[in-house]
Amino acid sequence: MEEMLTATGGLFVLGLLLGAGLELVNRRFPVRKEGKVDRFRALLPGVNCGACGTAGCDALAAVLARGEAGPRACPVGGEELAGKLAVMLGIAPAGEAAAPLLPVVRCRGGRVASPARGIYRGIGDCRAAVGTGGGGTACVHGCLRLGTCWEACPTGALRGGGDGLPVLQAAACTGCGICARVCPRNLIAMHPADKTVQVRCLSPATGAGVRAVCSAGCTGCRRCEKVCPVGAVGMTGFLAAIDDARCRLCGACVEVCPTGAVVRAFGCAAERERAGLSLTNQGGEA
Amino acid sequence: MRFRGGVAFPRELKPFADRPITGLPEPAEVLVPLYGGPGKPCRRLVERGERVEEGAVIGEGDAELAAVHATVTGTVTRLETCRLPAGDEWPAVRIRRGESAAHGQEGTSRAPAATLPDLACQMGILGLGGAAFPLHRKLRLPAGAQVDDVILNGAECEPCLSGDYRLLLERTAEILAGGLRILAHFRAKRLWVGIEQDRERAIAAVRRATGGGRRARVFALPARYPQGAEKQLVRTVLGREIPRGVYPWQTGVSVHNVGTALAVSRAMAGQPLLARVVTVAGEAVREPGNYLVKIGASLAWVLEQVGLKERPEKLLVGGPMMGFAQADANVPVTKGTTGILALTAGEWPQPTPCVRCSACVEACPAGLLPLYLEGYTLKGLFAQAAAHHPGDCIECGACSYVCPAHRPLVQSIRWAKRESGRRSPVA
Amino acid sequence: MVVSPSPHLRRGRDVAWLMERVLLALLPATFSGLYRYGPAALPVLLGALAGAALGETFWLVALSRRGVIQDRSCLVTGLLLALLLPPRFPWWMALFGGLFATGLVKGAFGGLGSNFLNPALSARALLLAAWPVAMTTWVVSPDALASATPLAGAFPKETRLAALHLPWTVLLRVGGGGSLGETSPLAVLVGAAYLLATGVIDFRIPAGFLASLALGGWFLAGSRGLGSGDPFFQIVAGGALLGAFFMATDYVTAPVTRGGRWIYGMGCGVLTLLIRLYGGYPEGVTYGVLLMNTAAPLLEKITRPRLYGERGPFHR
Repeated sequence: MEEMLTATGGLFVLGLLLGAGLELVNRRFPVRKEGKVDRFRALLPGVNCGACGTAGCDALAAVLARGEAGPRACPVGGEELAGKLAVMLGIAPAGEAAAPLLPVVRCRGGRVASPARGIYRGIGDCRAAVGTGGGGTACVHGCLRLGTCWEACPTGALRGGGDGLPVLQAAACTGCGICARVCPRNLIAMHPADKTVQVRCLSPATGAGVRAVCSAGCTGCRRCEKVCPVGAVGMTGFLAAIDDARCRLCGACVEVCPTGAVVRAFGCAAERERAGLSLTNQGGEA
Repeated sequence: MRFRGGVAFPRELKPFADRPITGLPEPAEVLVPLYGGPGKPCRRLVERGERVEEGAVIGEGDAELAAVHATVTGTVTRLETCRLPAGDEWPAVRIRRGESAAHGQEGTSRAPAATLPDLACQMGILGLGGAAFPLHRKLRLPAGAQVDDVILNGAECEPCLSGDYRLLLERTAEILAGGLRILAHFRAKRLWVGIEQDRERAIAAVRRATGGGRRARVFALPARYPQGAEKQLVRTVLGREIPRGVYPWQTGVSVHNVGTALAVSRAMAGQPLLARVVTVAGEAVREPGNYLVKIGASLAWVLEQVGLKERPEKLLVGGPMMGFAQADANVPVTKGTTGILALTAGEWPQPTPCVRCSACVEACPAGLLPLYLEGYTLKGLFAQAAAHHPGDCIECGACSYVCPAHRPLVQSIRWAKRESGRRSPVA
Repeated sequence: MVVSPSPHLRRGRDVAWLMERVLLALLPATFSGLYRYGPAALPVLLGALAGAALGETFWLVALSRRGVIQDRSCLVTGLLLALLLPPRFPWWMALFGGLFATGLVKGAFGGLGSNFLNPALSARALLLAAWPVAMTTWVVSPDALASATPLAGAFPKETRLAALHLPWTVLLRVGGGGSLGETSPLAVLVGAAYLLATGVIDFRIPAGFLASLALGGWFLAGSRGLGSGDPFFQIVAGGALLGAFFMATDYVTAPVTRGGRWIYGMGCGVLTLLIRLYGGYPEGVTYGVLLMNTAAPLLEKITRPRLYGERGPFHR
């Protein structure tokens, strides 16, 4: 009985002493929470997409708190966030307010338009397949159709379409640009959401070269160039290029394009609202 | 020096060695890529509809690129882009064979260049071991550099291929002459001919031809893959390694394929490089063997000539370890085409989890840890993968060959290489 | 046609092939144990195998993975565990051990290839902690099956074996008795020779293990001071051979580098010996190998192979 009491009592006293010690240390040497980091963190979107280049929103908050990043460090938050961050950082937001950026997949060579030359068997990732005979795709510039972009998309805005190409649900897109970075053929460009007329082909090949592998590519026929009332369409070799600064989104080029390489994009109504556009132009695709 | 890592193949993977080199007939049409070396295409010198003589220069580049020749006499029918075996698109010239424009007209060929690099450039000689690097660029050294050892690579980089072996048997004297010409160009001290131990006849043939001479000697190499890789060959023959990030010539050695030496010998006689020996094999091929094929002949035409037993499931250009699988046969034979393999099995073994058996580590001749490179890459941890030196991988495929879990090691290391070249900076 | 990455040639060995070789190599030891202890040892054998298979199946179903059970690795785990258990061990405890091995130690960490501890040895350690009496109810004397005395108490069985003063040549043939797989070191060696000959295991780990064990045994374990021990006794007694050839060489938990394997093997041997001589546990191999398991990643890091063309300590 006595032994039991000694043991129990001893442990009790020991626990008391150690607990007191812990409390003492905690009071004397508290870990100061970086309140600044938390305040930055509260502003950030919290999707942890990594688009800023850091490991996530917590990491970016820490970078911001150290003053090592500017108000536009987060590509997802847009102008609204940039303004808030600028206030917090005590500086004026640099640059002008621009339309949010959305990904444009500059290839329309789906399974039907550009049938594969071979059957690809290997790692199911575009970045691995690109060095393996282009994953059997016919066009060396076009989409590999293995879905690396939509698998990398942190919000699910980019999804696989029926023809193997990525499809954008613009309302869900935060404009983080991860899809653009993972694409091994650099087919995805981050594009201002209000510039909805785009060339969806990156092949510099001649008309015959494009037609041999794809029915939806830009053949360099120049019809868009000729029809454009404001001279916004130019040619880079055999590839049409639209000067966004001049384009008035009339859509004349979209009408004349024989292969459908020039399209009207971001057709989703929600996105138009986001971009502050009127809903005059119906149709188009995302 | 003992061979490090690598794999030994069963003997039955080295067949067709007894078949002499056979010439294929002139193809009715060739598609000659304007390829004179890596980087950019050669400048085209002919127009559509133009008549060209066999051996006429149709493409030229600056000092970096070797010339490209018409490999048949005929008419340029189309200027197009073709797919090279490695998958790149490249401008090419299609020539339909026809009658010679005028008999006895010999004004088209220019006088052979005086120096060996100029000659190699003029005669369109690229390394024939598979990499197709312009010979003249390997021959031109900066002032003060000295090459002491020239190694002729007769090690047949891959199983199933036997072109180099047949050349050593059938064109022994010419190969040695070419090798001695390279030796003379460098004012080097020693000429080695590296031949794998199990190619006894070739060793004997070259020994006979050198007659025990002191300037050229045969080195019997261990029959272990990848013995034909440049770095591995240097290590075995000279007992030293080429330090990382250093060109072989900086350590005083220059390695050339035996086919390249033969091409040098021919070039000295005024003949440009128009054809090469290609091993055509695989289960789907009726008459496997070694064939002399004109550059620019399409794979489809070559397979038609040698006959197919059945439709191949997979068509390789190169050997089974490093060769490129072709989506279709509309690809021309190039100066780097060592073999054409038509296989009837097209499956890709399904990977199972890595059990860390270390077979890949043991097999790697570069001293890498392929399992880590693969694991990090497939998880998207490219920075960690880059810390495991993907750039040192020679892509010999020994790791994937031995892997019991069928992990896609080589493909992921290739991916890791790409990614380490395009790291995005922190915003 | 098919476009796939090189190489297009494979050696034709797969994981199932490797695991089958290990199972084959374990057969002599298993039969030796069954022969010695008769049908009484069957329940523990089947219990451990069933437990390991169940644990594996649970994860396969839970993660809707298919085909992984075809690699036979859970059978290897189950069989190894059975060989580590006393022959009269209750079957349900063995079943529990098997479940723990593949269900928790292996499955919960990601399944085949992802566990950081040897599943069979972890299970043995757990059983030893949970049911120490049952785990130390050995059959000590080779021919004393009938007079098997339940000896509770946690002290090295090798100590008691040493007290019997059997020469190691006899032990080599009959073993020390004890666990199911420890009845005949010779049978274990036959299996080990097979694995070495087929290239399934690397000689470096067992060589380092046994060499350091023998050397340490000779130096430390003698009754007449330093250097008077019997080096072979430490090797043939207990589970050292089984551990050196079948446990420490477990692919998943051993280092993949050559240098790492030497250090790892020697570490296993030293720890085993220290636990045997100075520890309070009845078996040193289990904890020796488990401790070295945790060191394997670190060993790999410090023994990275020299790259081609890289200057190393032995290269200029």
